[in-house]
Amino acid sequence: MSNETIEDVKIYEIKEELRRKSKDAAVDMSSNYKQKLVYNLLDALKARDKARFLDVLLRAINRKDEHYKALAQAIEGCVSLPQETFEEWGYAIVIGIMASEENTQG
Amino acid sequence: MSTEVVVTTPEQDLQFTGNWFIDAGILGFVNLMEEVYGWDLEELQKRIRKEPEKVYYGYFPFAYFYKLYLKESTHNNSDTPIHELKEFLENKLSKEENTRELFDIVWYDHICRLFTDVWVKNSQKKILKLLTLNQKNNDESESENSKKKKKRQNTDEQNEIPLEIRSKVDEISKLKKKLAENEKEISNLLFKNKGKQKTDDNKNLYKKIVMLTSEELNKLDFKEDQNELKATILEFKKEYNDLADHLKNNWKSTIEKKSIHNDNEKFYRLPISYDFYTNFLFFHFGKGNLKQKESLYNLISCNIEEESILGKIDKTINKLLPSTKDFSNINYTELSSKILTERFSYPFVYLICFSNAFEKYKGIGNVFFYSHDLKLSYIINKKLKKYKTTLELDKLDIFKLTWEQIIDTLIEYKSSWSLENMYIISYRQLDNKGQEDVEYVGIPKLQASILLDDKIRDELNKSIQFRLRDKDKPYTAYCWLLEEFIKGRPLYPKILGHFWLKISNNNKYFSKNSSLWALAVESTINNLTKDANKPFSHSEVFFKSEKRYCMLTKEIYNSYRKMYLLMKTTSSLFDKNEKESLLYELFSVLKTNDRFTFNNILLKKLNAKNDSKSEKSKARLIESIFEFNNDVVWKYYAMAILIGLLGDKNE
Repeated sequence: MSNETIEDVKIYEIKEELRRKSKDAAVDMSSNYKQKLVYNLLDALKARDKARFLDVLLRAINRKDEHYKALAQAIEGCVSLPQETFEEWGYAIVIGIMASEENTQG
Repeated sequence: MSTEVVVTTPEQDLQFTGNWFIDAGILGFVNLMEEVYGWDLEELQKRIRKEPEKVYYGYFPFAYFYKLYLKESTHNNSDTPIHELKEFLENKLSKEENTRELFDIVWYDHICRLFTDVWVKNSQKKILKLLTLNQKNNDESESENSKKKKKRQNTDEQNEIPLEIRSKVDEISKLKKKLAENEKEISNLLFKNKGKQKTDDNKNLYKKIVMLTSEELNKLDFKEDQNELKATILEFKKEYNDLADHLKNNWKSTIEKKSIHNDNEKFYRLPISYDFYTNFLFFHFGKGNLKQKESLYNLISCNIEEESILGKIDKTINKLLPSTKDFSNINYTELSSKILTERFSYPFVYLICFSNAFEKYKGIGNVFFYSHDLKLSYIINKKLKKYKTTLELDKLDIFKLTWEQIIDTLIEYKSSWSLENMYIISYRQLDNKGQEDVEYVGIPKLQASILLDDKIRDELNKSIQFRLRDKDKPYTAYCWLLEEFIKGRPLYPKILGHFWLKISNNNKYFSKNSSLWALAVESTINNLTKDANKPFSHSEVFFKSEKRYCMLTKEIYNSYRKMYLLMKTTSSLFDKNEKESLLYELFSVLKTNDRFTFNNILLKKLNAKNDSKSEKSKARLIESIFEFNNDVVWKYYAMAILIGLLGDKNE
């Protein structure tokens, strides 16, 4: 693990929760919007820029929908985590958003 | 090395002890007897039970020397001496004579007689050397001291020549002196065509003379005034050949009468040599026939008082042991051989057969397969030997074959326990000059349990070519996956190199399935061990589960399936151009072991894909990326994705 202070199991749980919640939240997004969002998020992740990542993400989920609220709550728990874990949970969110594609189509 | 020696069965029965030094000797002993007399293990056991004295004092010494004889002899060897010995020993009632008498008869009537030709040839050469050395002593280049020393040595050796032969030797010596006067002319004649001849090479000159056939002699163009010289050469050759008959008769009558005297026993020394033991007991060059005989007898009968060298166990008896001085632990040095003599009747018989347990293979040296069971080791080593005679093996094949044989035999035996307790011991060189490439390969419990699965074993049982970078200089090499696995080395770098070779040279073959299996095996093991700090085979998971081996292979099958799916998905998702560009980009990231960058590139590519056809594959790939997104297993699955990108290229 890149961060030894966080146990494997715990980080896995966090990741799993984020993925699930972001997947649920992204169901309503149009595929074009989602594509653009993912692109921006991946760019921020590549630069390891947590602030930009959060900026892009929070703007996107700033809605009153229940799913968005749940995701925002989950993110709240992650923000305080050490920088080393940023990519771990960051990618979990991106993957969740990307994985929701199937639902919109189906 | 464990010094524990446990013998529980009746002492006569051959049994492994758990100490591989001694066990290798026991197997060597069995091999030796089989090689010479054609007895298998059972037959040998029977004979040892029935009449041990005959086996150890009769059959064994002959067999040991027969093998040494084969090394020295250039003739086609007949089995007659073996049959004669067998006949002699079988017609003897057991306990009729004591072991000493039995041994003496075997020594003179069988061993010495066996060596007749070799001895005659050797003595002939020795005498010729003696004569030429005599002349060499007159060389002015040597210092006074060494001259004197050599002269003394020569006179000693000359004095050893028995009277009956000495007259013949004197005759030859006279002729040789005659020849010596015309040495230059002779060498001009003999070496004319070669164009070069060393002036001090008298030894070779005379060797050449005695080797000349009459035809060759006639071809030499003697001048008219050289007729006398030609006659002398002819006579010299004749006398030299006569010497052989003289020697032969003398040898025969001497050993028949058993009348070797202490004065000239060195002359009658059996010409034996062996890389493994150079100055040991009867191999010692200074020991004459009688002393050789005594040494052998003392060795068999464990007569430590007479043969003090046998009193301790160290480098003299086995080159893998340190010398007494080098033994670091004072408590155990000197390691007394008492510990052995108390448990066995004939421990040294086994110990000097040590090297017979090993079988020489081209390219890899000497190999011995060891398990804790004599019968199993015996069968597998025998099978390997059989293969060796039918096939030309290289390094990869032999290891492959060894394990194939082992596993086949074990499946016959239905014994997984044995697989976990086996070793292959190999060495390239083991003599006075030192040890080279001595290797002990055991199969760890974990690997053993995986190897018992046919499918996995078959897939890993392949050699792959791979590329690696050493000091910025890429080169390719081969490795056998199963061997790497057994030795506990990581397979991933090899697969990475294998893949690298493929993408740098499209003509190379890429073994897709074996690579996937290797990745699956390694990722499963790593994944299971990641939680505990200790190795998996020591972890609780391993011991708690009743069907530990079933569980493990099941997991491996599972990850193989996932990897296969991942590979197929990737392959179907991208078109040819996309694959090509992604392949190199992702591979360079994979080499740097950068998980996040790898994910970033891949996700970006997936994000850009928008056609509804590939929706399902895309989602599956994304799920997989999430599932394997941890430091332990990601690279294995990343490799599977890359193999998928290779896709059509290979097909």
